[in-house]
Amino acid sequence: MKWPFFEKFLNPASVRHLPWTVARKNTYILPTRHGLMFLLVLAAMLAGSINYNNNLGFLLVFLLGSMAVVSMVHTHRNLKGLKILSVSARPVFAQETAVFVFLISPEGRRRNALEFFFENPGSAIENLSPDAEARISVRVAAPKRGLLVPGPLTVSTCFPLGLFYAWTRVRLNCFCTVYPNPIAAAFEFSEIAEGGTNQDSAPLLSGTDDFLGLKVYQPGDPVRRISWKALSRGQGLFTKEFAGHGRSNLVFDYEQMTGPDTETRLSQLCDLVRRAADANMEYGLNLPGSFIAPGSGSDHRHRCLKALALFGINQEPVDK
Amino acid sequence: MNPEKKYLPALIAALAAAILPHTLQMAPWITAWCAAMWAYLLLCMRTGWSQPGRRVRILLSVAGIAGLVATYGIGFGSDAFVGLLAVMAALKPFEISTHRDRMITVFIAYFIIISSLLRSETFAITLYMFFSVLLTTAALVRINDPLGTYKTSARRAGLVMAQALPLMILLFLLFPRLEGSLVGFSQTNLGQTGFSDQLSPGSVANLVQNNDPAFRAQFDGPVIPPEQRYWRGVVFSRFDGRAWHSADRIPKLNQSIQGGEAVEYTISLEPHNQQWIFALDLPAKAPSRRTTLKRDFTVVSRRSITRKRRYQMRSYTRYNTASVDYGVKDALKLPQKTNPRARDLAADLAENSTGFGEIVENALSFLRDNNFVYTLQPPLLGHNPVDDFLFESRKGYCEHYASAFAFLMRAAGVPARIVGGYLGGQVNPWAQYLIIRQSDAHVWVEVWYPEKGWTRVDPTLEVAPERLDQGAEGSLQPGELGGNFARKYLRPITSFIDQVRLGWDALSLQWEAWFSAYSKQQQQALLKTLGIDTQSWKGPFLMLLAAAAGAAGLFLLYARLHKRAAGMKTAPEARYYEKFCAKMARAGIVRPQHMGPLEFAEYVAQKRPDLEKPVHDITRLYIALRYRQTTGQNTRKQFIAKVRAFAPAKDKPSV
Repeated sequence: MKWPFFEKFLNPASVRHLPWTVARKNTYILPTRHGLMFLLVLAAMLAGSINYNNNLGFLLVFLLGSMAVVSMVHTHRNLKGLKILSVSARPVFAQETAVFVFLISPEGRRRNALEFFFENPGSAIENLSPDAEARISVRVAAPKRGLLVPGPLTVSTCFPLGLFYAWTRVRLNCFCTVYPNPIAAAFEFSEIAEGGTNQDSAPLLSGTDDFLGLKVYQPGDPVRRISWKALSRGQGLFTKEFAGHGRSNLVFDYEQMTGPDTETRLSQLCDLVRRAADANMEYGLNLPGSFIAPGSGSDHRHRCLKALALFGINQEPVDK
Repeated sequence: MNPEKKYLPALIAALAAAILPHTLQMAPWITAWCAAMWAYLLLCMRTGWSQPGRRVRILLSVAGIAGLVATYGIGFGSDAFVGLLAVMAALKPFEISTHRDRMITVFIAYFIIISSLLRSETFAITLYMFFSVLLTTAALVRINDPLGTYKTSARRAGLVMAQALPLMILLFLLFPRLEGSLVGFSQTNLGQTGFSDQLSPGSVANLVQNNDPAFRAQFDGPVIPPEQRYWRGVVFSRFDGRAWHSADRIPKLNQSIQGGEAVEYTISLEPHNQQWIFALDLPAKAPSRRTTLKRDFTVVSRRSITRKRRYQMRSYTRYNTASVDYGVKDALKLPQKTNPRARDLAADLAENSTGFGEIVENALSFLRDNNFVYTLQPPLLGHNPVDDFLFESRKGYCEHYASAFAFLMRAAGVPARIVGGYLGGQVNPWAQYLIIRQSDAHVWVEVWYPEKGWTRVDPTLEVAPERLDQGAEGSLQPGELGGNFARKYLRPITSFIDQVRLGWDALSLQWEAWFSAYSKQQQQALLKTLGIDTQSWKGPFLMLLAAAAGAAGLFLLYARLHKRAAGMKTAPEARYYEKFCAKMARAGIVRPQHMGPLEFAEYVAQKRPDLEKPVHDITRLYIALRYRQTTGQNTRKQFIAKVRAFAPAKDKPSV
């Protein structure tokens, strides 16, 4: 059910901080189309009861009418008091779908058939049990790289009778980093290695094969290097160390990319970073105006990809 | 999987519950049609068979409407309307595919429910209505709560209904009522039993197996004794040799009757599709403007009784109607040349008696002394039924005795006519009122004496005196009514069931007496006791004003309580810390949302070194109170005092 005028009118401009509670003053409620239809049905029933002077007919009409009024309160309370505790979104590549995960507290009330969406309704319906916090995923398309700041979040419900539509709209301080859409770069890693984008590059791909030994796992070590054998023997978490690791000086250079324009080049760089990270290589990034020294690990990967995502975009997260 | 799977059973259950009260009156094929469609659909869902396509559905609709036309004709009565609703409701589940379809289906179910209420207003139907609405509302909740279950939906529906009850009662009592109806009643009730306008052998005996209530009578005083329980309905004054007929166009009674021992009572009459209104013999007045008291002392309604009616009556149990000689001449007419032996007997009686009174007495003793048998199964009578009965079979039911006796009287020159109605009634021990059933149907004779007027004579009592206080069942031979085994051996069980049924009957009558009778007059009386006069415009206006004031008062009270409750939740230290933050904000340093108290203290110290000491103290105390569970009253007092005393200067330039 859409009420364009009200949606525009109520489109919140200011950004709210978390945690944010749905208060009475920002809970809106209107009859749905079916609610109006129900009203017509009731009017017809009332006319019939008046015509036949039928007390039982009156009783039914007033019962249904009273139930509609009571359901309005139920619908309102189903939404009011809901608390949004936090929101986070994992970075995605452009043209994928960004998923914002909200941590919601139902504040001691069972809540049924709540719908969370940014722009278009039709997403999944959620039920919340009274005393468990729930994670609600809200999807939104991420068409291009940069920081995706979604429009205001709408939380709406028609529960229990579908005769009234209660909703709230809030612009929250949330964003999703959107990496460029990766486009395959036109050369192999071995070529880079042998062709030498950097003077003292060592053999890159073979480096990962020289097994040196195990070291105690440190948070941040790549998952694929965890020695599962050791873990399965009950010896604890260990990370495999390889000879090649840590000796590379591979730096992907914006200027070396073959793409015709900035976006293509960023996309190619994105692809390279991704592949290098997948191959557990050490790599750096050289962009006009910024340089990221070679490194590895998921944090490093994110740093590089984020630099690509935000390259040339004058957009910073509103808050940390 | 078909996503409709989870909603369809609930919707079908709602529709079926709504249709159920109609099945008694609907053509049987419609019930079968509904059952078949829904069973097929549910089967489809279980087995995964394909559902009928659009073309088949259209074909089925056409077939259904053709069936309706074949059953009810082209005219569009209420039966045809209900039939149409049912036929369409049977097909509707096939085409449910969107939320909109589901909502409309639920609305259709509500509509079917109200159509059943317009036909019957009994207590049972009232209770069933609540059940049906609960089921339908549960379906409505179910389709609006995709992740719910039937149980949670039903519970929510019940909650919504329960919370709606007070408002419903208020609306019911206060919604303005009109008098009469806008359009005439179009309801028809099929299959109602009772008297017809002619009386032939067997027409009363057919009713005796029928235990349906005809009407109930509540007395203002004590319940009248059995010998007075003659309920007058129809007068049959024309005899054609076989059957007795009621006269047409009887004028309105305009004389007053002399009577004694007036009885005041209220009758709840079941619909019987005729215009007669039953009253204790002899009615003193017509109960309402829409009824007339005729010169044969019957009460007739202007319209056929097609729904329950309640009316207040007054009757005389002793009366003298000598002033009303209407119909006396007609009460001597007999068809020529029939029943010669009866005529001879009548001539005999007339010859050997002096005065009407003696003729009546002698005729009664003839019945008493000649081994007449009171039975439901008399042999068939020939062309001279009165002769055959009086001299051959001598077995008969009340219509035989009344008919023969009236014949004898007329033949002997005594004006006589037959009165049809009921004799007796069961006292309901739970609430002291009489239930008069169809099986109490009875006919008796009235003869006319010049000095007393029309006087009741019941020839049946000469043969079966126990008919008076034991009813038809008690005065017939055992076994005549069937169900001998049950009567004999299941006595304790049946008597217990009878008690329950009588209790239910009393409850229903109370409900109908109050609920169905609630109308404009009762509403005005109710409002008057509340001090509101609905006759002038001031009354409703004041009522509205009072309602608005009451609602506003309740709201304010609620808001106040709510606010207080909300305020109680926050600990005092938190409130005072908020106060401190507000003071800081006024001084120019707003606490960012993400900063904890410690961090904020540092932040303030950086920006305003002059405030470092008080801010540090307040923060330390606050943390002690709030997070270290220090409960000392002194600490709290100290903290509150410090916050109160805290007065930062505005925007002092940092050093």
